[in-house]
Amino acid sequence: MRNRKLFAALLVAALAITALVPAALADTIKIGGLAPLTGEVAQYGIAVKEGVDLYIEQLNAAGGINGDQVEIIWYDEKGDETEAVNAYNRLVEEDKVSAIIGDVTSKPSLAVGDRAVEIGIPIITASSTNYFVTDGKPNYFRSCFLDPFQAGIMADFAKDQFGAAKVAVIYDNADDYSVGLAESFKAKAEANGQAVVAYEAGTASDVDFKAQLTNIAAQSPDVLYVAYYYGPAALIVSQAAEVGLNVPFLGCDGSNGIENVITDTALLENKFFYTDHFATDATTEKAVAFIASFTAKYGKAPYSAFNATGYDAALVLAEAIKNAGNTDYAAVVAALKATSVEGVTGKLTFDDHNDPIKSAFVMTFVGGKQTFVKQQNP
Amino acid sequence: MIVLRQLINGLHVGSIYALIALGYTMVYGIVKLINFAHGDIIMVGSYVAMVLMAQAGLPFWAAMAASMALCGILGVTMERVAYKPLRSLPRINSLITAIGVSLLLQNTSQLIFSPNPQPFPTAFKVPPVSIGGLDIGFITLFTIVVSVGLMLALQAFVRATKMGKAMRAVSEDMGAAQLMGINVNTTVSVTFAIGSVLAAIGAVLYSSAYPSIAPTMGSLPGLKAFIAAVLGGIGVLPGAMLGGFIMGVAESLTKGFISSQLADAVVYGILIVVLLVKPSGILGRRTNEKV
Amino acid sequence: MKKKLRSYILNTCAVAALYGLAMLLIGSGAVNNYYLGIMLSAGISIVMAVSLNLTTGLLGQLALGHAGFMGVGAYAAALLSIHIGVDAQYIFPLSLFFGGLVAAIFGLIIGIPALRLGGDYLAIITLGFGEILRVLIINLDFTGGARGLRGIPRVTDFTYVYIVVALVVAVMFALGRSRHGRAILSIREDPVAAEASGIPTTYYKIFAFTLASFFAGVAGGLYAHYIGVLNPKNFGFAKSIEYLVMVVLGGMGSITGAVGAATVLTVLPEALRQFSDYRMLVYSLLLIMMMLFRPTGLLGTREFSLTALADRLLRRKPQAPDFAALAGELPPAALTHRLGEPPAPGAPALLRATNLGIQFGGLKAVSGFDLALEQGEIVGLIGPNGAGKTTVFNLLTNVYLPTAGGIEMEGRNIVGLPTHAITQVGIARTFQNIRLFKNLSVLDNVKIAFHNQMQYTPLEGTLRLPRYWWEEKLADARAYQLLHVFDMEGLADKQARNLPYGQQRKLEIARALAANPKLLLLDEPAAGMNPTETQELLATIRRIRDTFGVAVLLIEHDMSLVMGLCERLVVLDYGQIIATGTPEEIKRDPKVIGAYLGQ
Repeated sequence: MRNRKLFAALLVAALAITALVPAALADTIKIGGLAPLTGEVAQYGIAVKEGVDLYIEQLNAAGGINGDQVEIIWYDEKGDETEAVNAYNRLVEEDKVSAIIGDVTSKPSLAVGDRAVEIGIPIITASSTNYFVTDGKPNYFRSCFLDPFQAGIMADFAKDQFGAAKVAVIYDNADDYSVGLAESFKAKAEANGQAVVAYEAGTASDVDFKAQLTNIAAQSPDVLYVAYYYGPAALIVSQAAEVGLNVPFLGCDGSNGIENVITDTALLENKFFYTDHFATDATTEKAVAFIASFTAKYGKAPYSAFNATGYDAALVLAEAIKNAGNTDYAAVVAALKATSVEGVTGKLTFDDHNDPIKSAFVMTFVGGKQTFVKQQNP
Repeated sequence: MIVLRQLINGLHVGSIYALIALGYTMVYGIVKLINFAHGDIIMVGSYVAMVLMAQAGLPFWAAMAASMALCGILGVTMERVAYKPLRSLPRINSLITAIGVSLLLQNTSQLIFSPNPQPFPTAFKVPPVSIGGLDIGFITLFTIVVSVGLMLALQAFVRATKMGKAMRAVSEDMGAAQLMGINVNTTVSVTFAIGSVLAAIGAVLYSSAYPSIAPTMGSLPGLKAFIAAVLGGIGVLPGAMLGGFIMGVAESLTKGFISSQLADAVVYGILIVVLLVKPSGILGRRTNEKV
Repeated sequence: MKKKLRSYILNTCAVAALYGLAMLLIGSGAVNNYYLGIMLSAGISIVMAVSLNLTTGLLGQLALGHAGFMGVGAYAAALLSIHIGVDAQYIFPLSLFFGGLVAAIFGLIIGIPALRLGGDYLAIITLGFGEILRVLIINLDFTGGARGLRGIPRVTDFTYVYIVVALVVAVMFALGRSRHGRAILSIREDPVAAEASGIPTTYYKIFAFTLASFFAGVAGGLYAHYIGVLNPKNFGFAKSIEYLVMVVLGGMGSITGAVGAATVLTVLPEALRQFSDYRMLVYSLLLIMMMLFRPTGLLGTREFSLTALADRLLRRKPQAPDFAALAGELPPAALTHRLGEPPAPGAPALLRATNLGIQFGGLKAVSGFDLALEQGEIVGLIGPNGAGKTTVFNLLTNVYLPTAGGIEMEGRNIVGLPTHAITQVGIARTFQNIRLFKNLSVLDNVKIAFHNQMQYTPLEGTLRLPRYWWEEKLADARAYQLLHVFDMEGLADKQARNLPYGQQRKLEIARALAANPKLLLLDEPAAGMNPTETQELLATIRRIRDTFGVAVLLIEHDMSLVMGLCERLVVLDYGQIIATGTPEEIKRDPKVIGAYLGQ
């Protein structure tokens, strides 16, 4: 009985606090953050969050937007659609945020997008490459590449750089990002007249790719397209050496950070090429400053492309709110449409489909350092 | 030649499954608990070894020994705190706590080490061994030899020592064993300790072969090893070994010659077929209930 | 009846009132989309937890792939809605049903082979199923593969979820308290005793599992049309475990417990949102703590009852049902067991075993066993420990399949018939080490054995059609009558496990009699009884024979009982008959004396 009373008292207290909090923070602009911060895909969520948080911190230190401080409210969604929708609803209904950065993986993004389009809230993802995330949703934007663009660049690169006539692909058939890249690469390579001699898949959380790589090696391709994030990509490169597959590897923007997880960086030297959003060695002031401030804040250099796309997503959104002059949904969406701003990943504008029009950079490694190879404009 | 390659690939993965499956099978044999946290001990073992090697600069063997010791202690603690109080209750209760422990370990390590994958230091800088024109990675050979060796040692331990006899007795009938003066608590603790130490060895070998470690890395090999244990006949030590090898080879051959996408489906398919034909697993014994 | 009616009205009103209140709050905007979303997720979780509770809590089979059936239902329902070409809101109930149906078919396909085996096999096979399903969905084209299935019309609203939850919970309760529900519970309690009481256990296992799969499929349909996009990864092992946790935390077997736990565990992660990164850590700690400190779950096997609550609030004492009055309402003919017709001259013996034997490996446990029993006989089967007496019982009831010889019941060969069919033919038994349905009431223990004498179908039981009422009433009255034979009618509401030893033995005999046998096999009925109780038992067994006209074959070590009761004795040693005859003859037989004195 006493427990019950105590519980009731706590409940009342909790409700009271919830009621008081919004009042105390009246003069801030609230932005919602949706990302998996726990669970299997947490690494991508946290990578985006660190990029976003860095920008918001800098923004607030520089006086915020038109004098208002920006508060970002992050909710973890574990990579689960139901959780993502709950978190989205909470951001919109309870926290009354003006805009949202998220979601990180594609299917939660789709689920949230279906709802966001109904109220027109400005929302931008830093990492969902699925074409349909922004499709038919005038208020949903993204700061990352689409699959066909970056995969196509690599198919062309294989032809131009290595004269590759025979290409091979390895991808994760449980991951839509990977599947999208692999399909786009294959389509472009075939259009280029290259033969796709091996098209091998792994499944979620695989760590042993030797069986697939043995098959690939047997087809003696000229290059191997690795449609994987940096963790598994590092394993693939190492295991390729074990099974005697000695060809150039082509990666994607998810490969950014591979040098931090591979045990032998020598395997990457002038051997592993990938698409990225900016070139760390020869690029804009903005990118250089980003790397410096990221390292200062987190004690480590940017380790994922999502650090940068996250930063840019926040930047684009903040600029749009500034330009709109208020946080009215429609005004901010209109301002986002008209975006033209220099981000760490280059000059950002959006096309009709709300996808960024920006350059891609082909990178490789020399002396263990990321090294610029080629810039590809859209 | 390719068949042989794929076979060796399969034996390598299989021997790691086998090593982990030994721990599963021992614990199941004795307390009839599917210890879902067993896979996460692999993760803990890997992180411990990684930190000791990469940050404290310890040599491989020292790091491995420390990791074994720590995992052993973790296993016993887990048993004492989370499973022992529930021993008299339906097994499903311990199953749920096992899941709780698994989540706890994963999330703790995510908070400490971040969810990002990290490289595992290279332990052996040894060139591949060439047998009959076939290059086999040193770690592959080493893993196969170590796991077979450990299985034999464990089998001898269970057959020949007093503690081994106590284990067999407890697994037959916990109550009767207690009446015969066997200290059931000690026996169960020793079982968990051995299982966890084996998992730590498995962890170090696994991470050396696949040097990218992350907080959720234990779930998949854990699940696969459990399946291997069931396939071979849960509770039977050579069964775990056989199950592990069959799984590894089946996976590798499916990926190599049928379809790399269907490897998991084939493995689970084999499991289901085996269970339908011989429910107690390949080497398992059928126990009849006395009416 | 009156009490039941009151409970119906009370519960229906509560369900309607809750719905009205919720719609009012949603309509007025007091419940915004956030809370509505949580309510919908909670509703879907409730359906999942309640249906898994059927498999794991009520049937007692561990299943680790329940989310797989949800996935099957989700994809099936979504694909139908997308491709049928009719506005989804008009055919939504059809989509839901279709999702359930496809899931049920999968359940049937998996259940038939997996459920023949006991133990953890269902767990492992369902686990494998969940994983194979994921691989299939990813590799098939029409499921959208790894990209997921998009563009599902979002037609799931509060009304649909509420109706489905109310229906599923109501079906669970209605079915649970029918003969079919009791059959399912008896399997959880003791599959061997259930078979021996005439329950076709394999059928009921598959029935329950398929029904649970159906509900999971419907929940999947609701989920698909709520979230709008399906992710193949979402129906794997981790998700199945989430639902299992709900069932265990609610209290295994408690329907209302599952409802409560599903709600709490859906709301809890939301309540923990502010912990952000620490959320799952807190969740896992709570999980471990709850298991350690409240291992039976929120409600144990109890159910929350609105009627009981109302009674408490109105300070009404719950009334024990008046069995005598109940019996008085029924025509006397309905109450008495059919006495067997007197056998026609030259008719085959009631039971005839010829040259019966079984080998375990090289060991001949029983061999060359011949026995003929006539209606109404009381025969004793005696012999030293390990002589194979219980094995004979196990052979007669096909718990073991004989390796030699034949068994005929009234001229009909019964070798190889499943145990429950043998019970139906007319052989019922008790067990040496009592096998009651311990967690069920004394009354239910007896009623379970009436299973085959009742006719109503699961549908009639669920809809509570007239035949249900009539047969249940009859069963109650007859159970009371049987308990009265053993002076146990006052204990009808007690849990069987709480009875003293002697009463448990008597209850087991009552249960065996309830199966309406022609032959009763009693395995050491007097074990553990004091001399007074044994004498009472002797009188009772005689009375049973006289009242019900059954033949009795009993194994007993208590010679006063054997000699005082049996008309004929069969002595077994080392699996073989060494003597037969009247008690007087047996007493003087040197071979018997030798066997007992160990010469």
